[in-house]
Amino acid sequence: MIWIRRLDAGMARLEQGLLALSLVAMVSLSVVQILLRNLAGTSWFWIDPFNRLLVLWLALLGALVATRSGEHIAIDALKHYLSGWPAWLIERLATGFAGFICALMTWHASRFVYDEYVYNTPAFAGLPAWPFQLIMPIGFGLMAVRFAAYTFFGQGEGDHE
Amino acid sequence: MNSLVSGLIALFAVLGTPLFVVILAAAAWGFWVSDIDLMVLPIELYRLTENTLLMALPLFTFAGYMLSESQTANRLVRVSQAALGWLPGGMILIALLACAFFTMLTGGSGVTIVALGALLLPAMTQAGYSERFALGLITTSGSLGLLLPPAIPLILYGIVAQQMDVANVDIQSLFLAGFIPAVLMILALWLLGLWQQRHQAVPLIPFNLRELFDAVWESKWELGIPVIVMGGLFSGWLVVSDIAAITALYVLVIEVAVYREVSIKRLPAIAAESMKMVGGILLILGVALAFTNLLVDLQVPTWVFEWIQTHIDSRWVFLLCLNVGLLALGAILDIFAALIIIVPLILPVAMEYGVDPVHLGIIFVANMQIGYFTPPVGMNLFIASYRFKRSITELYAATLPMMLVLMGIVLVITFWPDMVLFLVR
Amino acid sequence: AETLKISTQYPDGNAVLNELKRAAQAIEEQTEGRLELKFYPGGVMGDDQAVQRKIRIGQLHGALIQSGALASAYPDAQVLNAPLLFRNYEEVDAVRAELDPVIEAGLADNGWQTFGLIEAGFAYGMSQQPITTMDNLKQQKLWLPANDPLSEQIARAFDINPIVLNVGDVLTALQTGAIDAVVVPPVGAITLQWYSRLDYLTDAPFMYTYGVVALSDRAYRRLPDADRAILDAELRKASATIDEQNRVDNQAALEALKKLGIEVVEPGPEDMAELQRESEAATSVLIRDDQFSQSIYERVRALIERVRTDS
Ligand code: NA
Ligand code: NA
Repeated sequence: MIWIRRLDAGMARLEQGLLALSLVAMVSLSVVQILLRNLAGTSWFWIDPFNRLLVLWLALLGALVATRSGEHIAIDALKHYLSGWPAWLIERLATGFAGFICALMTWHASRFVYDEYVYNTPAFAGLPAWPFQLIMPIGFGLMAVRFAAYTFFGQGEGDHE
Repeated sequence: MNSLVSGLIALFAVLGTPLFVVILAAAAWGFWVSDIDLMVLPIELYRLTENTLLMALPLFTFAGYMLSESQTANRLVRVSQAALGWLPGGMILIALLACAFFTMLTGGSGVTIVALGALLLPAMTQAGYSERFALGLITTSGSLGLLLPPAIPLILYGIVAQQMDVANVDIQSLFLAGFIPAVLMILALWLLGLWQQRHQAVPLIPFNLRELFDAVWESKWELGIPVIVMGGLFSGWLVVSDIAAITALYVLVIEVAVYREVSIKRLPAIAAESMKMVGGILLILGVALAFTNLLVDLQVPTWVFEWIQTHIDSRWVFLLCLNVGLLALGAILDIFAALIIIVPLILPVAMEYGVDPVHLGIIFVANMQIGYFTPPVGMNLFIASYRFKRSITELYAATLPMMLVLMGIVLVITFWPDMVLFLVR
Repeated sequence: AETLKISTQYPDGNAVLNELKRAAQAIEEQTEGRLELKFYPGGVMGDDQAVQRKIRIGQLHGALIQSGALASAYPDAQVLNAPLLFRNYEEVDAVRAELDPVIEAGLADNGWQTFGLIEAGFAYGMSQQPITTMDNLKQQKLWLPANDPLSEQIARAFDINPIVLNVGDVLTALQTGAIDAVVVPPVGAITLQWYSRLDYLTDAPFMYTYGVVALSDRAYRRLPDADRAILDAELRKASATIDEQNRVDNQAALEALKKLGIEVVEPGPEDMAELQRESEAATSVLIRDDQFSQSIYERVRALIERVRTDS
């Protein structure tokens, strides 16, 4: 099981790195665009669509990291009144359901990306959109795996930030 | 079968399933029942990339996290106490103005709470206000500036109305009309604060020009932030996402290089931490698009308003019902979706009842503003719950008085059109 | 009963939508309720790309959509959008009399059933400084819409560096001076309030714009022949009505702009000739980049030349 832990920790570092990188890219590209616009009186076509794609990446990577540390926004009204095995059962049920829905979304997001590949939807600057959209099935897939793991083995102890 | 599944999803919601999963499940079930390919879910999620405005969310949030990692809150408290400490409820007023200002720039998608919350909450408790009051005030103020220019909702309303060939709805009129109601809301919340916290020991500080000068000098770099934002807005840098990017960069530079309160080594962690938060919110916004699309597809809003049109005949009853309906819609729908879907439906109806279109715009946005923190599903409640690590029920209780006061203001706005339209005419 | 779900960017209450709804009612009556049309106005179903994805999965069945959105199915539909192609509506009418069926057939072969082209009007250059020469044009901080591949290609072909913004940001950008020129049909300049921040209109129709009511072939083929005939007749009638009304509206809007203080400037003969030359060079770049084919362009040019020599 050690290798799974290592893989998981490695993934966590990768996700956090990508998150920080996306943010840095968004800030610097926006600033470049502003400078171009105001000093050179021009702008690059690809920056705005690329930045908008980064919003999608931030959404999925951020949610992925939040899944890992169990920090999703939730209405946990009932949780506060329960302890012991009912609390245990409820947590497992909730994560199981989340895993199921994420798996469903993974499947349909994969179909979506495949369709975009077939129809050759452009993103910007003549690039196809599908590689940028891959974050959707990958993100939901990893979330599904994590929720499933928490359902069967519980939320990892040492993993909280 | 339908009610069984709906009940089951609701049960999972209260069991603590992540909110994005709950919304996604509800949308998936609805589309499944309507016999629509579930590929619609990723199609809707991908619509997160349609709008440049959303970029402001991560950028302002990162700036806010940076500020909260440094001593900005302390400096802000010092300046505000030096400037308004002699005034009863001075800190309340500062908090309200700061939130209104931030929301005005971001359109109220929770940025204010995320970015300013961690700053204002300790500032207010340090100044002597009760924590519960501060929580309620900040959660409420997360959507306070929506009626101030250049808030996007009013612009969008103007454009929708104009495309319908409705006369006299230019955007400047909407901005002018929004001003008095916005000021009224700020004053009302300030007075509520004074009354609610009348037993709280908030010491008054005698005014001292020297102290004010020192405090301002100490936080001069941070006071550059509003200068950047206002300057950018009124002079040529234009779009909100640009201002957000410049602000993020500026805050990064001053906190790392000038104040030196955040080390470069901490930066990746702060970036990841803030983006984790933003990711959660963005994903909820994305799946909410899918759920909204389900309602649109089923033409639910149309039915609601057709019903209103056939069952109500007095103008005042209509306006009252409009308030209730908009409040409810504001609590479930995204404000932009609501504007695009509902305005074309109610504007002709409202005009038949003799309601001025500019007045209607203000009523509309004012209700949407409250919808952001209407239990049980107002978006700002969830964001505040997440940001301050408080239970959602605690926030229901904390925001209730503010909600009642603002509903009172909305009634004044609704039934006293001359007050709203005073500046326009 | 069948239901066709149709999306449009036009808001509810707009004259265009009213005409479509009239057609829908006529269709429902004539088919005795077998065929119903539902409209999703104001862009609630998303931008053109999102709408096409939803048509793909069958959530929607059609849309009133700009010609550029269907270019991926049939690029030649964009030939009418070539820069400075037409000089007046007389030329447009002559070309369209012959080309409308060609474009419709091309779209039909590629999965889109259409019911007549719907004019959106000539888009004119409008600016804060007068534009009468190519140099003037290149000095402008010119706005172009985000996510519009043809506009992007045209700007590249002209070698101008425009400022790309969403439509919603344009008014603010004009106010702050971040941009000082746009290319827009007169009706758009008025409804979007842009005229209030602009002073000049260059009297050379920069680009002809049009849309179509497009139904996916899959949804269309499913209908029984009799109902399809009724649908055809009513949608053709509605498209023609909107087509005519849009021309009237645009001409009225152009007059209204003059009354609102917009000065109409005209390039001199030499400058006009240079603008024409540059446009033709840009058009050949568009053809090279497969935005539309050489053969269809030549066909259009021949028709235009015939009108020009006749007059
Ligand atoms: Na917003
Ligand atoms: Na809302």
